[in-house]
Amino acid sequence: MRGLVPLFVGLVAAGCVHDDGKQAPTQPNVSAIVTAYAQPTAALTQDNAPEVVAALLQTLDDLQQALTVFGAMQDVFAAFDDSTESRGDGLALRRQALSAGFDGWARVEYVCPGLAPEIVDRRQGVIEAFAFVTQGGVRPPMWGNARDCALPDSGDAVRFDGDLIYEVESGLLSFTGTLARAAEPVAPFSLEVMLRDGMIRHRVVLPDGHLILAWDDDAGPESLTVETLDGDWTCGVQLQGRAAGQCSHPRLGQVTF
Amino acid sequence: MGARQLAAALVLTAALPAQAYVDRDPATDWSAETLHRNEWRLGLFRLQYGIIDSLQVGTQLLPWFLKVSNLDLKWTVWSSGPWSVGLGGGLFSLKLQDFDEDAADVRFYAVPVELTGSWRQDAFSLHLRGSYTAVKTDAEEALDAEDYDLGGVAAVSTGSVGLAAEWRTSPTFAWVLESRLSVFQDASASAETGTQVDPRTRVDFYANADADLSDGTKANATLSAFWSWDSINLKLGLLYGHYSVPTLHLFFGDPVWVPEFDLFWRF
Repeated sequence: MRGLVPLFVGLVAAGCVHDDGKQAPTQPNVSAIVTAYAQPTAALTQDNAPEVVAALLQTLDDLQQALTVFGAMQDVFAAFDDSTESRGDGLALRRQALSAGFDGWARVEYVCPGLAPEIVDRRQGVIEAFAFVTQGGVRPPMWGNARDCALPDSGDAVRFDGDLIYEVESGLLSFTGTLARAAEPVAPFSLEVMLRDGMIRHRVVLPDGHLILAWDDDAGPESLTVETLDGDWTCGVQLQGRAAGQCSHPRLGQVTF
Repeated sequence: MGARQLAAALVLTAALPAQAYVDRDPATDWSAETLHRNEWRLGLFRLQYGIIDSLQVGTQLLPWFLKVSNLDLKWTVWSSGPWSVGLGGGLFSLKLQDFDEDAADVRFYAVPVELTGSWRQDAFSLHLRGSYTAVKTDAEEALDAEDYDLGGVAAVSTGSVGLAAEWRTSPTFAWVLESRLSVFQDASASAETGTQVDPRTRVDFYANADADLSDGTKANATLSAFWSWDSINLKLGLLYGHYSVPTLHLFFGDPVWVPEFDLFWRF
């Protein structure tokens, strides 16, 4: 008779099993970063102006290196929207399935092309991206990671490995990891920018806080705005040769560098 | 027995004064008791067998016609004087491909569990029941068309409590009042869909959903006339309230009147 106890317990346990499907990934919280872009905490002074300009030059260089990476990131993250908006009958069913009162997420896996885009070869690395999805679409941020992903870049391959974040509402784009161009050695690489309404914004962290460099993507960084604790500075920057220029503030005057 | 005679018998038995009529073969449907050892029950709806005096095994017959295989056990866990406690459990299983071999590989499982406490004193008995039922649907691959597939699981769980009273007015007749109240009925589901967007890009969706299926208080009560002769047992009843799916105890709809009927042999 004792053998019946495990049997009944087993029956009850079988009934109690709640299958939640795949475990949802943990979404990164980028609200602090987004808030930081809205609230600069450092001032622009004659003393820190050289450091700010150096940061601008470094950012421009990093952006040049990261163009391929960020382009691939945006393409991969766009797959979420593509698959929820433009696909046909199957997606209609999916959108119904994901309608009311659900907790859903999506995963995109992209096999990097390397230097042979006609061949799908996982040895060229993958980008794995995630997003939470609601009835209205993707709930930002989207995030993911690249694993030894090789992309073509001006005839060479650029390889990168690290974490990606894309917060579509604010335009925050972030990569932290390593990057290697062609035969160059692998080096740590990180870049965080905010791309929205044709503007590129980058946070510069200084010893006494942070400020934001902003410029129009079409006009270029020669017409720069520095967002600070004291408000916006308007700058004219000469990038040919040694960087030089000046910034003016309606109340605080001018800073030259 | 004609309908007129049956009606007369019903009136006569109901009019008899309550005496200490003890049923040597107590009903097992609403009580903690089980069939006796080596006793069979064969009826319109159930086949049961008493393995020992406190343990029976059985199956419901109608589900088999719907290709739902099922087995249940009931065990009188404890008995002392007028008190007894019974624990019952079952397993129901349905495979969609049994109906259509081209159908998706979808399986349904139901596990009902019920704990019953009974108190029996002479011709009167009371039975308190608590039930939990879990239903699970498991779709390994519900749809696979072109580059799109869908899989997932869905589950329904119900909990209910019931109170039954049996009043035996003669050696062969008893009034039975059964009531059941839904405590909860919840549904949950998780689904997976996947799309190969292009040779390099695959998108997979995972969704979990929970829903409370309760819509206000759901309950019902059934008053039955129950005849138990030497081997033949007949139950005629009338239910009022929210209909609940037998075994699953899933309540739905508005209150309705539903006739109930059962006929079985014990031997």
